Amino acid sequence: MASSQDPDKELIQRIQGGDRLAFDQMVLKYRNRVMGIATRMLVDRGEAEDLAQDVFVKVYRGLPEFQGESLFSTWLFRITANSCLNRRRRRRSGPPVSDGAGDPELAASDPSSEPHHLLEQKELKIVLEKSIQSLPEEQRIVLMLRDMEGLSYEEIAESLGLELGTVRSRLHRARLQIQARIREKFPVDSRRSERL
Amino acid sequence: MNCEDVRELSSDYLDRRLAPPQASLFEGHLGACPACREELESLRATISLIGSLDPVETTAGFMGRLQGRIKRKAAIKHLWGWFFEPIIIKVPLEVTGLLLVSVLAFLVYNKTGESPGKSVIAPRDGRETAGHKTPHETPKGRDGKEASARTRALQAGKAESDELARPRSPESFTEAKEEPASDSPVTEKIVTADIALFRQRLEALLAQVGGKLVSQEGSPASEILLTVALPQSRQGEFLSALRETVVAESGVAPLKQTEARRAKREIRESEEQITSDKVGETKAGAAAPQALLRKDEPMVRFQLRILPKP
Repeated sequence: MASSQDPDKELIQRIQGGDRLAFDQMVLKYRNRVMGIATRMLVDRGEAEDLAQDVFVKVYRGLPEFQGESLFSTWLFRITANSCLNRRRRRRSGPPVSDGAGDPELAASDPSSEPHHLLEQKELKIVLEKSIQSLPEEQRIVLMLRDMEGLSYEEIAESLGLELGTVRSRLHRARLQIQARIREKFPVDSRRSERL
Repeated sequence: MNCEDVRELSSDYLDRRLAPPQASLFEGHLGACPACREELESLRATISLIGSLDPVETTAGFMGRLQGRIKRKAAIKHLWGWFFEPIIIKVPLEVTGLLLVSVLAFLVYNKTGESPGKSVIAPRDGRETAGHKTPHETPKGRDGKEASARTRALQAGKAESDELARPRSPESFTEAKEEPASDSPVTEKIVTADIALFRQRLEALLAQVGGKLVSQEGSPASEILLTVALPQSRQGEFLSALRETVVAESGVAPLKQTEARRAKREIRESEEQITSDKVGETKAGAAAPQALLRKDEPMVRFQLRILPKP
């Protein structure tokens, strides 16, 4: 049974009751977020999508036993994070520095035709993506779970099997590193809180 | 709280994880330090930037592929459950069944799969053994089946087959002495006026029936003991002829030319052999002459005590 404060409670109950349409709705709701984590961890989009499908298959098979001790989203991103880490361990590959190839929209843009501020936003986005991919995988996954998906320190610790102190230190170092990289690329003004 | 402490606790502060007393100290320092305020704002903006990153969209057909994968997994799981669950019952049964099938297959294979290339040493052909093969020569059967047939015949315990299969030495007649059908010698007592002449006639008679003189003991001047060997089937013929010879003191019936020449040669050879023997040698120690042995007939031995007519 899902937690009483879980926004996905009703959806999960329907899925556990055998409602395949409810399962499809859940997948549609979370597939891009799962894909975001997978892409930023694995870089290769084909592999990331394959992993995303694996994640949802695991969710489908594990939902009958889901007791609702945590939010469903927490449980989902826990599966996603561990799947990514396991896949990377098997691959034994480090985080390659992306030149924007992971985002075809950015690579295909024509700088001369766009307004300056939009172009700057895109450049910032590219720097941000590169910075994230340059992080060690253990910092990267903590950063994404916290700052992209909003999991609490405790949820992250439980999901990854870490101590709270470890989560805290990895998160803080990751943030400082991203901050430093952005300042390096945009030294004049680092206060870019506009949504990209 | 100094700037270093503030920098270290900035993430905790932004995530509202500082205890109230610590948060007060933190904010107190910020009020007095513009640099730390700016640093904190920069970090806040960075966190906001990270949170604003777009999710990555899946490609077209993602849902269809996912559903197909789920169906395949479900089918595999169903098969697995059908074969192996409950594990505690099905797995032991299946392992036992597999072992039984393997054992049966092994037994069937061994029973029906006689190798065609397996050579079977056939027992010696009796016709070839008598005096014409060395003890080391072991002729094989034409194929494994014939050899097996001979083997089975031998194993049936026929005396003749055993004798045929036994290797024979052309130089030793002691083996013939051990042949059960003809082992016990028959002693004939003969009284004759001329021992030497009778001996010659005897050898001719032996040659006629395919026998041979094995040994001689004693002296023609007094008494001699002759041991002869001949085919069992000619035994009656030999004894009849011998008695006729003794009674009639007549000659020997004419032989065929080839047989006569062979008989004369073998008589000569046997005489040479006997004369080289020492008097008083035991029968077992006496060297048998190179006599023609009938190829496939058991031999009988006779001892003839030839006494001079008083």
